[in-house]
Amino acid sequence: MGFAFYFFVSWLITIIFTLMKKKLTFVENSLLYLLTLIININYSWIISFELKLVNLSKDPLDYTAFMINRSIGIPFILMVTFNLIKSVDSIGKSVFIAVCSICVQVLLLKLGTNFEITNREKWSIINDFIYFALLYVVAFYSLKIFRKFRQSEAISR
Amino acid sequence: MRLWESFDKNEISLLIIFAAAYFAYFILNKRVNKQVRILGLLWGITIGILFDFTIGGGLLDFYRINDSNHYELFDILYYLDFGPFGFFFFYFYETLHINKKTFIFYAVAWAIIGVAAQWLFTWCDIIKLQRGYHLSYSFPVFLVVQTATGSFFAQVKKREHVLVKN
Repeated sequence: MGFAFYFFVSWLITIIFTLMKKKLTFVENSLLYLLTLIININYSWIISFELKLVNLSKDPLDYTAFMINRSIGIPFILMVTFNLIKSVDSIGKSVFIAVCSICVQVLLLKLGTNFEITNREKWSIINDFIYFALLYVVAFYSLKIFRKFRQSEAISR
Repeated sequence: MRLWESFDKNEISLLIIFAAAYFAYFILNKRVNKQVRILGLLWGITIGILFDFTIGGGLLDFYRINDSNHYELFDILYYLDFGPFGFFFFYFYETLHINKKTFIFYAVAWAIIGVAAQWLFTWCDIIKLQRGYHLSYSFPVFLVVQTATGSFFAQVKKREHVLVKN
């Protein structure tokens, strides 16, 4: 059940991202995806395998469900969020979109316990909120810096 | 996080590879659009991390990096080593004018380079294959990775100027 659920969520968010009118460029979206993936893989590894604060299921399908959410669901939700934020004109709306997105991310992690994919007894949900808030802030400022690198020099092809 | 269990062959090798790879990166990157060069580095690091934490750790755990299965300082250096190679793939794809006809050779060549690098890492005790994993199994992994990298870069090329005049 957990595998089917996370597969569906990841499929859905990938389709939404593919079909939506994107306000960020291809390289900006790529930056967000790659950066989120690096941070998220390391974060989930550290809290589960190093600190053992979150226990992962040893069932192959459940573990695959966890990896699908880690590698597709979370980064794509962040990318959809940032494209939506770029399309609105007020800070209030942007913050609202970001907060809703973080709530969805936390809810998806929390559901992992219901599907017995993760055991989060030693882990507080507040930590997840803090992690995603920081992840979004890091992604936001990285994108801002990345935009400054945009070059318009003549090509030498 | 541990720094290392014992500072020996693998740590020294990683430092040498790191210095050589980033030296080459800084020599070559001047001609490349800044956003594309950052993306190249990030792509390399991400692919390294993604595959190592998927098949090199967790349930599969086919290889051990450095001295233990736990995170060490030199593991970070190991992942950073992948960065310049992502960039080199982009750079030579552009400068060698790789096209639809030559892409197969380019991808296979990089897959062989990948397996050779993994053999070198094994020889330097940076990675230790375990649980019946054989070096040859990495060839299909690298083929998929290099094909994905080429497809990704082709999309970047369509949208961005890769080489710029200084």
